[in-house]
Amino acid sequence: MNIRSLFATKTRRRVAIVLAVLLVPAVLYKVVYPVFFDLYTGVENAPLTYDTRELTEAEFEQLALELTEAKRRERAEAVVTEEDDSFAREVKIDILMNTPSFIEEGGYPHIEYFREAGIREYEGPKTCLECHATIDITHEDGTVETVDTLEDIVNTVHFKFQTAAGGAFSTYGYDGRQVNAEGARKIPVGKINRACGIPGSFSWTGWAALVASRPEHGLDEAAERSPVEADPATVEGISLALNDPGKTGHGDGEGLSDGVVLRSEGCGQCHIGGNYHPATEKMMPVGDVPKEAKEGIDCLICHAGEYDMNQRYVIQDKHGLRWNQDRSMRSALTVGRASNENCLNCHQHNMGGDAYIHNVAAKHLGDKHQRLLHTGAKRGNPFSPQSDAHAAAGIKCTDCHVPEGHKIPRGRKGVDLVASDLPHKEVSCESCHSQTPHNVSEHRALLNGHVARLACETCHIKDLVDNNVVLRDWVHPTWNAEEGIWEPTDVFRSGKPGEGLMYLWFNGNGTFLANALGSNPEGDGSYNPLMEQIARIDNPDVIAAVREKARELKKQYPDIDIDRYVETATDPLSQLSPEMLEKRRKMVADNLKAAMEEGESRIYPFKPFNAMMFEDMNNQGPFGAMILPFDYATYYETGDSRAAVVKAIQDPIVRRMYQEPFKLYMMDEFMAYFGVDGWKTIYPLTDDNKLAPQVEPHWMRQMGTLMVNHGIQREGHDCKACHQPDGLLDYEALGYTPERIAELTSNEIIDEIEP
Amino acid sequence: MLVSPLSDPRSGFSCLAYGQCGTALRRLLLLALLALTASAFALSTAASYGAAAQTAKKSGLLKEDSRDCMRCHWMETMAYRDRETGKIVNLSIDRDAYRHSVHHELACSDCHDRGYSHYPHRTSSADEALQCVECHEEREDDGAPNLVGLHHEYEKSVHVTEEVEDFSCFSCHNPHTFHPVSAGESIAQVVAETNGTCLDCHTELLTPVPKGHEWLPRPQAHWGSVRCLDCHTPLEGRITERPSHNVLAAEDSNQLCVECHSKGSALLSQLYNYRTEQARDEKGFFAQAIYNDAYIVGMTRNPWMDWIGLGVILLMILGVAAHGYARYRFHREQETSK
Repeated sequence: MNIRSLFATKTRRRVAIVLAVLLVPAVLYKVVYPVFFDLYTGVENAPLTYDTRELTEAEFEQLALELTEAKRRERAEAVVTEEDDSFAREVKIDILMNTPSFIEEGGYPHIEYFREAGIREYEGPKTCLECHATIDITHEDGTVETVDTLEDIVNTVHFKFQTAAGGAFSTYGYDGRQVNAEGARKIPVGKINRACGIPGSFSWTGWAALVASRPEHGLDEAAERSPVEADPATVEGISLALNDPGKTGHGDGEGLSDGVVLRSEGCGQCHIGGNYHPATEKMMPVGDVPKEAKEGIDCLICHAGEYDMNQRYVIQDKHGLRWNQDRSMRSALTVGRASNENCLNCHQHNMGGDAYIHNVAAKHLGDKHQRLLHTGAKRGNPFSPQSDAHAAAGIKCTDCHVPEGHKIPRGRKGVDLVASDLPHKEVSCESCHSQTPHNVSEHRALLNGHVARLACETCHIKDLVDNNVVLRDWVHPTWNAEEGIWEPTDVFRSGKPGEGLMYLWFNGNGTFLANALGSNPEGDGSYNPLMEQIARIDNPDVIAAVREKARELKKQYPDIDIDRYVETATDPLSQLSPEMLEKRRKMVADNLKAAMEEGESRIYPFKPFNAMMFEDMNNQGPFGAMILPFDYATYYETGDSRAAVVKAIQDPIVRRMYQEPFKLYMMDEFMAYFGVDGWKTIYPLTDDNKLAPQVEPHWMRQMGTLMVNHGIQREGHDCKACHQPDGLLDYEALGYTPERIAELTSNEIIDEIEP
Repeated sequence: MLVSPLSDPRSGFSCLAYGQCGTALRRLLLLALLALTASAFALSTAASYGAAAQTAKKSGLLKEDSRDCMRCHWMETMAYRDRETGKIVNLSIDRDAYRHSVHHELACSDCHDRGYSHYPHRTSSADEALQCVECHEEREDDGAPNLVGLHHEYEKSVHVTEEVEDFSCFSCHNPHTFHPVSAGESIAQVVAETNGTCLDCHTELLTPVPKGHEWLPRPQAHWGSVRCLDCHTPLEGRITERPSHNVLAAEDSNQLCVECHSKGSALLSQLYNYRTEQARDEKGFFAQAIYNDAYIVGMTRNPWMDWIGLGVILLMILGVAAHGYARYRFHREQETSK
């Protein structure tokens, strides 16, 4: 039929127009836009394959038997505890394990489901969705809603790492506006794009990297040190990576020598997407995550009882680098509700840190390309039965962080820019403990009285882990001979109060750069942490330690001026010009006062943190300048921090960031919150691929303050820890009047209690 | 409607500041009861006493030894859970509430005179023999209202005759916050406050079919609109200003619906005393005088029915007028055509 005849009559033309009106936008949206998007952002999407295979009937039954028996044994061992004679205990465990009722209870229910449904291979979300295409969500008010499971997940913070939702943040810009408040222009913010010196990179440039390390003890020893058996596949991994470097891989022939061990690094290790990049599509007001990316979601890392963290390492294919995941049937058969172990697969990395002795995931670093350990702890407050009273009591993460579907609340008090799925849902000590939490002590009423001014954490987190990092220098890396990589230099680490743990008034509000806001309800108005506590380190011990580290660094970097180094690290405001300092003082007073005085403030413990990084000084304000990311592979391998920045900012996303559309779409608004007027799009790289002169190394102008809520110890600080001159709390800095300080530090009452 | 104090996490704190049993309702209640009691001694007495309180601004908490006490007892969360009853015992003094209370001139030691000079205290406040009635008699010259009449009522109440353990004035009244009712409190507030005091202990009544009230339709709706005391005090000898302190046992209490659901109900006269004043404020004297409690239509106490009734009457008048006018016009036209 002739095409013309399709439009021959008026009616046909009308039908054609209607069809076109319906179809053209759909095609544009579904086909043209994603292609354009990928071209524009430089991200790549491709079908994600994993090493899975179908089990035979016999293999399935064998696996089922092993898992069931192991689980039953675990349960039996938990029941038979009080038997001194190990032989007798073994016999009893055996009896119990063969008791019919005991066999019937427990186990892994999905073994039976899979058996009946004939599922012999786990193919990721596809397999799960066969039964769980929709789920019922119970909201806080008790209403139940049925939602599409995949849709629910891709819109969680665990997948997106950001939100543009109104009212999602209790964080204020330095311009005084609440971030994404109702009525404001919403921009996506969260871990995906916030400025943070701890990871040193950001999620696009640091998503997945294979680092060629050169451990000085050689391959064999590295394998011995490792808690897992070194896989000979490491060698294959090297050749794969080196022969096919991909877009962020290694240069030609580099590091082919015998001593090279490939290691995995990057933000993607802790995120549930298995793609080549974070959820970039979700950064736009339109568009959806491509189907391939959805198929890469790792359901099992949160839901499998026996998830193997040794499968979590960077792999490389012709499209680039991405993170492998455990898609074994062994793991799939053990699915259930998320347990603490599941959450801690990733979150212990941030809480206790990788060096924390009870971090289970850090002992399963990968069958190959083992993940690099981050030895400096980010928050330093572990959650494990050994270090936290609640974990010891068997409390589950989800008992306090009560999910609604796949959305999980973080708590209403958010000092930093980490997005929260359910920002208005309460997560607090008080939701379980009453207003009278102390019941044992003779002085319980007096202790309970303190709740009016002190958060529970203030007394019940007595310290953080020792390797809690306070000051990190990314500009001057240090060689780690054992791992064979260049690492950022942790100038100061401590978990002690007054060093790596500080106390501030906090009402639940924070700034754009994670500074706790609050005010002293009975103060004299002098409390001003942004000009005082968090902008200066006074502790002479800390200053001495920083000086010592600076001396050490000078051996490697002769250009370092030790005095200046110590000054900028411990008094970051010394980096500001007098005009900038004045502007800062004024902005704090004019813009942040309301947010500080809102609600009820109590004293909370915070982990302070600052980092020296390269900054784009064209986009500078009184609170800091735009920090530039590092390319992990370049950084770890060469120790050339400038080259690592050069590499990272050539990422298409960073280039786009320095262009007009991104400026208008979000960067102007982002910088306004940052305290900078307007985003300047001068790309900080010269034509000959050198860092432009506006790129300077700086410490951020104040320390970030990270909230610490875990690692709760049953026995808190005693009275004298604070109620004495030179106690843990600096009452003067906290804005108390001299008369009140005298009362608070006198020991006339304390002596009655603690003679 | 009764709001669970647990629904608002903050209320937990504020309630501590007011009552031994610790609910926010309780505090509202106390205010109301206060008011009721105060007015019991004739408005003049209460008013003059209140006025005296207002003029004498020197707070008892600022006196020297009180300041020592307040070094600790200001803390809003100073409380503990009693090991025997499991209930939260509040030891906090809300400075603002105290300043506005009838006792605001008193220093701590005026009542708590022994065993508190050192921490830890020698005794707990529970074993103090504080006597409201005696103290008020002694201080009558200072304007303290005489409580003897109340006491006689109280002695007949079920709380005394049933020998409820540890029951005293303080079971319902918090002397640190007690003050005359503030003008402009709505009926709903008064009801919520008063009933909160009762329901604080009688928590078993917050169930769908409360014990002893099986005969009562929609019990929770009743808890929200009338005071427990409206039924649980004797019908005889009521005075309009306040409910009796003679709280009756279930079997002696009123169970006749029409005692309330009728015009000029004696049971409700006390409660609606407030409503009349409130309504007069809201609607003006005449509107209130017209509606009053006399239901034009039915006994529903439903204002919508009143409006509908009025509407029907208005329509009827309009109809009659239209009919009359039509007849008049018809008559005129016939006249002219003739």
